[in-house]
Amino acid sequence: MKLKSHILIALSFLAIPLIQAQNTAENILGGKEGLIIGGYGQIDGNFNLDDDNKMNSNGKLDVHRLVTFLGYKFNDKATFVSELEYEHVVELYVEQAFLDYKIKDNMSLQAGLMLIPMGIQNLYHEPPTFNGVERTNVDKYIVPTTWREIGVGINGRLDEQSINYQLMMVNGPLGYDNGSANFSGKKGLRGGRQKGAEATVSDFDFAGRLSYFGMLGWNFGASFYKGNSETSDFEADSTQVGITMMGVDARYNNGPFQARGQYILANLENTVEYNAKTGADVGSKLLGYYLEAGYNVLDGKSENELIVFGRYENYNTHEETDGFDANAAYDRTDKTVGLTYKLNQGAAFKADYQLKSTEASSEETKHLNLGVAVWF
Amino acid sequence: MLIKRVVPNILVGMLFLVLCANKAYAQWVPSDKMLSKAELSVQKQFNIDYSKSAIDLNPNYYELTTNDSILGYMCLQQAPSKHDMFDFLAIYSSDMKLLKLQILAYRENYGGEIANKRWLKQFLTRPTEKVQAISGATISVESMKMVVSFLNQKMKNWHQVHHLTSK
Repeated sequence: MKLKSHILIALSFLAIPLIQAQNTAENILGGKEGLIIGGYGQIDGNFNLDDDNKMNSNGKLDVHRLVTFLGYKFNDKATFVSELEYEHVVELYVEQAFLDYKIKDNMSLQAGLMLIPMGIQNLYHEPPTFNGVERTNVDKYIVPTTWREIGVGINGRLDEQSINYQLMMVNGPLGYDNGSANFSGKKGLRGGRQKGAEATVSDFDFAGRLSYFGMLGWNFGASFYKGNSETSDFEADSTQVGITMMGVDARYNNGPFQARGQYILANLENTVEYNAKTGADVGSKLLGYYLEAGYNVLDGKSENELIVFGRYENYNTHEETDGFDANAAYDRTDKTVGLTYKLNQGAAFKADYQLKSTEASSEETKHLNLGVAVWF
Repeated sequence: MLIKRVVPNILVGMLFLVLCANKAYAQWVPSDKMLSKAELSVQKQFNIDYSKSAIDLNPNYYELTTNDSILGYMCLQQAPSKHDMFDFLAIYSSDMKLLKLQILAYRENYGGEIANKRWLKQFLTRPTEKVQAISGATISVESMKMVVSFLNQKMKNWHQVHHLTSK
């Protein structure tokens, strides 16, 4: 007993310098260290309505996305970030998995599976950060969100100039996989996303983004992407398309008023050869834009926010076609009005009503969407 | 026998408590580099030589004096961003008016927009709750608003107790 106590005391004294050393290290480095846990999710209800606003077909209730964020901060220089995503409950993906190494105060080297910095929603995709139950369709058909590929890049901030910048080298989307085309006239590049799953590489592509936050209330962004799609047939140029995508966006906040807009243009080269080889109908130019304005009617009255918003959106995956006539059904317009009720910055109920149409017909389809959005 | 058995155990228990307390209340200590960055800003703000001494409220809050008169106060403070902490500097006048805010270190990849000087200047002229949101930095904006108003309150209260009541 006596011996045990003495050993304990001796051990305690030994532990003092160890524990203090640990504290000192933490203090010098500053910031949190260790495991970081978070996540986000959206649970949606989508209903198609007839002219009398009654359900005219089966609706859908879906745990659309449930993402767990796991990070580990080794020290003030090195952080690992990962996001594991369950989509529609049964599909499992890795949405991000990269090591972030701080070269200097405001600049990091990043390597791994990363988000392509194109437009607003591919980077800021946590559901409570945007209005509307579903992501904008410009960010589905033109920018294939959640667009992520494996690569290496830098990410930094210039405080004096109020600029954020990102530049990366990544693998491109897989356009041709053992005889079949992954790109299509209807969905553009969407089918080619490799998502870091045994990705095929024949060419490296480049992506970058600059954003300027020096004007009070405003945040401006400019994004670009340049490269070639990947192919499983290393020798055949006709199985690849050249991709040049550019985007500009702006977000504005002033008291209860908020607005955002985005314009994305993609030029695809070699589509004649690609379409001839694969039988696809890929357009040579893809274009999409949206404008959205919202107003928080609870501003100054409550901690919660009730945002009433409206959005006009057009996206055309056949803006131009090479060697065949454009399909007018791919020139699509969505008009959306809705409500976002934020209980907190990380939790919201959403509801919106959409009118969707295409240039191919004068008919509009009506949709009601209801959703739960969380981020923690 | 009782003394020999019980006392060492109590000692061990006390030591353990002290160590736990030490860990729990471990004070954030800014690096020397950060401290000199802050002091450079203070120098620019007042444009006069000064000496500083930590106040009893927090070892990272300092009273700045020149020729025995109080010039103002500087506070180094941490606040949470989404998954990490960021550090900022607050400079107060001798009557506890907020004169300057500056982000000293922002560690996360998202939300660094709060370092924008024009945005930070709003805190000097309008009530904290009226400070505008920044798209893409909502979490850090809310955190900054909360911590700055907390700091303002703490400094004002301290000032009340230490200076105004003694006069």
